[in-house]
Amino acid sequence: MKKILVVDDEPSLTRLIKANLERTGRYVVRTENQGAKAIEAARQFRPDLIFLDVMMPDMNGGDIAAALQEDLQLCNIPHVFLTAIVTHDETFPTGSQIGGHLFLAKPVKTEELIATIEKVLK
Amino acid sequence: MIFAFRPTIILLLVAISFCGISHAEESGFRATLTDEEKAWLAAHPVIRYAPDPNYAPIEFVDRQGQYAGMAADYLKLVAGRLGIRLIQVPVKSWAEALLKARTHEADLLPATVDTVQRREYLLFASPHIFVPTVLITARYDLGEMPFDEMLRNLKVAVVQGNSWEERLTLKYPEAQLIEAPDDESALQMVSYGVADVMIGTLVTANYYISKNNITNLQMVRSIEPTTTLSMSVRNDWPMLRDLLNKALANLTEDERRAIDVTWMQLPLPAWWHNRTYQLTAVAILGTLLTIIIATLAWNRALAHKVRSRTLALEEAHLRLVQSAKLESVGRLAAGIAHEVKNPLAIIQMGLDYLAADIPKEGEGHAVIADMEDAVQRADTVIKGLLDFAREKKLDMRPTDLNEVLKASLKLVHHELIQYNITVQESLAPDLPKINADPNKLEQVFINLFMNAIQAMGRDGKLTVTSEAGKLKQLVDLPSHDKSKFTASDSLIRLKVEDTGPGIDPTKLGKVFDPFFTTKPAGEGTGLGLSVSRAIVELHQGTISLRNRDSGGASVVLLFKTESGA
Repeated sequence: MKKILVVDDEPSLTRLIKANLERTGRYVVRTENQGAKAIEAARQFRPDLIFLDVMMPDMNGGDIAAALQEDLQLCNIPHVFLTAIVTHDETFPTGSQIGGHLFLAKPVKTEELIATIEKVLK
Repeated sequence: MIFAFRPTIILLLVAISFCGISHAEESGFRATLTDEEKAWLAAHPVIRYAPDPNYAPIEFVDRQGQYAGMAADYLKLVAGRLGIRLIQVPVKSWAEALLKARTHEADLLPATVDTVQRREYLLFASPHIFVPTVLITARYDLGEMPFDEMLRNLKVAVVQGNSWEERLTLKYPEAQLIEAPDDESALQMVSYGVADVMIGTLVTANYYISKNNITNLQMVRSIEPTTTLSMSVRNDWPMLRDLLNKALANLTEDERRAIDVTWMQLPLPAWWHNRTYQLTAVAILGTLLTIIIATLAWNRALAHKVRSRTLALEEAHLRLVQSAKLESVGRLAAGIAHEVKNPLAIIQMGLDYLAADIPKEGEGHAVIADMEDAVQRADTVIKGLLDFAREKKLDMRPTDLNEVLKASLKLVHHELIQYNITVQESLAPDLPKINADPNKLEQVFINLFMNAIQAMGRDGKLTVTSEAGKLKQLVDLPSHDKSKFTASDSLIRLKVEDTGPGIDPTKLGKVFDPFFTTKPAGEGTGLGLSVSRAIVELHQGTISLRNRDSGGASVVLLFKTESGA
């Protein structure tokens, strides 16, 4: 079973993502609603992939990604941004990548999440 | 400030006149002394004086230890008359000077205010220095507050040993007095708000305010009494006091005036009667008049320049405000997008969750599908809003428009196949490159292609043309397009034509308006063409839409090429 960490300030959303992913029987999911605690959560949980919300009230996803890169234990964990402000046209021509980072634009379907996980962890 | 005005010439004249006058005066004066007085002077050839080291310009000790100021000049004159030698007793403050006088370590204080307390150990000569007393404050709300009230309610800075300290402590025991070592410090206390007011002389206040460049103080009013200063001596030497009075009485008007001029810059009495001054005044006035006339003429020319400058500045300011508005619109849009997209994300996830539990038969899954569509529609609107409001920053580089057109066609390939659209490309070879943002132009072309595809439905023909040429060779332009280009410009013209129904002629003028759409309700947001036009205009180009004679719509884009080639 793959370990997925989901960092997003919306508890309703993280609760549902966890339920939908874990139902498949292939993933175990940990959720974190406070950006500032994301690094600690990653250290404890050692996920195989991290979904990061970009715009969070206390700390944005970009900063968390930078902090992950700097941590020797965590820098190899792939992360995917979940964002509310990227438009279709920004992801469309570049194939869901901006600046080398993988993006998923909200609202996103569970099947898209799963497809992304499988692609990244192959 | 005061020192800056000290004219060197006057000093020289004063010095010369001193030399001239003093010898005659001195010997004449000494002749008037009584034998008793002469005997006393012989017995006390050296007199020790203690100055206030920080009371400029009345008296002060400079960095070289020299005693200077009004009182110093008077003292020198008097000492000259009496033939006595002066020795300075170094003190660090006025309070210390008073103390030395009290203990008879000093014999004379050159400038002292006569007070009851001081008479206990000093004898005062006739006053010889008179300066206005002023109330100084940094506060602007004191207005006409009576003096008594001020002393009851405000914090008053006082110089240690100063006569005002004595006076206030006696008369207003409830006053809040804050002690300062000298006037300069007291002024700074008031400037910083540590104290509300201080009482000082006009001349000392002026001196230290300009020296320290203090800009927030004002002199509220003159206070009675005027500061009256006398020489004072130790109270066991009454003979010295009498001698000082005699000497002071002997000083001439010219001598007094010279001191005033040097230190207080007070106008000399009756100067206007002096011929030289009159002639100088006329000459100055004449020069001033000429200068004024010249300035007025020059001002006229300047005013004109200022007006046109102001106009340009106003325009620039307007543009800044516009872009600031755009920026805040962008942020607002991002905020709205975030606040709407998160709930949409939750709904979508929730639908995914519930879908797993709904039986395959029945309406349940259709309902779920409809709800998912609704989520997508809302999402599309938000995306359109973001597109529209986003800050228009361009990433310009030399771009081959043919390449961008071809790339855009590839991206809509799926739709072209799906609707069986034929594509005819007429792209001019060797199309000059222009400075452009290829990603943004791609957005425009995709928008135009998708509009065409949706207008045509099935089995239509899409024609994409590109050509370069001069304005005259190209098709008639609507007048608003022509204003952007001149006859000599080299242009690139792009055309996207379809075989659809065309645009209702009455709506042609509105097609580029935001939120205008010909699509049925729920399909499309109508933002595509307005965003496309914005992007084209950012490239200094034009876009126009008209109906073709053969049916269908035609969109023409014009761009200037870089060189005039």
